[in-house]
Amino acid sequence: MSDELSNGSNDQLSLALRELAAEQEARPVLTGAQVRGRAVRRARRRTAGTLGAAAVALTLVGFALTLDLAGKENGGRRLPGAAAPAVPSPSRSAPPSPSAASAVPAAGTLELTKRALFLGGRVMPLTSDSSNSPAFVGPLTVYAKHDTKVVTVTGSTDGVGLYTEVTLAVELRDADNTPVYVGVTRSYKGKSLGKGTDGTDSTGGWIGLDGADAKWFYQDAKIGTVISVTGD
Amino acid sequence: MTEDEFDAFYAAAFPRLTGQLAAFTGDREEAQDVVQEAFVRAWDRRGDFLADEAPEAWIRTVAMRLAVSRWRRARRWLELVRRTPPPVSTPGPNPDHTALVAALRQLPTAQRMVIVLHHLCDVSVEQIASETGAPVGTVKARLYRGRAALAKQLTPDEADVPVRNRKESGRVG
Repeated sequence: MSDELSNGSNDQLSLALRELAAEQEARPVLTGAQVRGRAVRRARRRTAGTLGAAAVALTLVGFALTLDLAGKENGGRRLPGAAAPAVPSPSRSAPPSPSAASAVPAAGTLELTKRALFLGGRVMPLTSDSSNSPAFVGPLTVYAKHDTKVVTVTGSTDGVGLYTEVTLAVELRDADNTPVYVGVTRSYKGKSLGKGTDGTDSTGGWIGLDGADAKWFYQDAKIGTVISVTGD
Repeated sequence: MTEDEFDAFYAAAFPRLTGQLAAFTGDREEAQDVVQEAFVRAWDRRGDFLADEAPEAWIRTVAMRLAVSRWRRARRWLELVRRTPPPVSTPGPNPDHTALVAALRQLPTAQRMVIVLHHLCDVSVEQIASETGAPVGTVKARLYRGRAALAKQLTPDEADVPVRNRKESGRVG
């Protein structure tokens, strides 16, 4: 009897709930396509958020690696702001690093076989050079400019050496960071006749051009310009 | 399930599910919101949704969970601002239904859920236990207590004594 009463009340409860639910039924506000559209946009946002987070993480990792490598290359003395300069600075106070120049495309070519310097559509024959002593290790990077430079090619043991005076001197640096001076050259033996404008002799190589080419190169060569080396 | 099949399923099941969720929440607009959100999630997670043998039950379960979490958030917010609870929304002109909704709202959420699932959605006790993660005995107890509380709320004069007797006899037996 109790079960019958209970079943009866349960049926009444079910009936009342069904009537209530039927009364509360409502048509959808959005169409099925709109619902799917919301789902798709949500998935895109989720993907974009994931990709964005991944990109930020990769950027941070790359930045950390750059700092780490820069620190190793410079004995850990380079400041973060100076890490990996993409474009060499034209300022003499901050000459480009030859190791960094390898990433910059060469603007000119020093063809030792043809004995000419090709730059800016200009062909400048070499009047002399010290390519054999020492050998140039390309690429060369325009590093600084001097009015006159005296280059010691062969050190002397008896007080007499081989010197080359370079005027309108443009200093290049090769891959080993060895200076190579380009300009109007005059070589001589004997005791040094004078000092360069900075008052010092320099050891390194030289490349001689005629006066017009040397003047053009001195005026137009930009600090940081990279010149590849071919031939020997 | 293709896009057309999903759209057809959505159009057919949405009203029915809204009615069921309205009985659960006591609020038709809230029911529409959670059911619609459940359908969005269904398409967003088609892998899970289509793997389920009963897609309508999947939607209903998700919608109920959404409703429960919204209640919890709303209750925390009300506790924070120390305001009185909002008045019970009137589901329609039928005064019997108004009383039923009010009585349902008096039930703890777990009891209300099993009442709606079992007596409205025809879900078996075992299936409710499976979906809610509660033991079968717990589901039965919630059903019994929920029914007793509703009976007491809806017919206090007639049901007061029999319910108490059943409760006591149930405990003894």
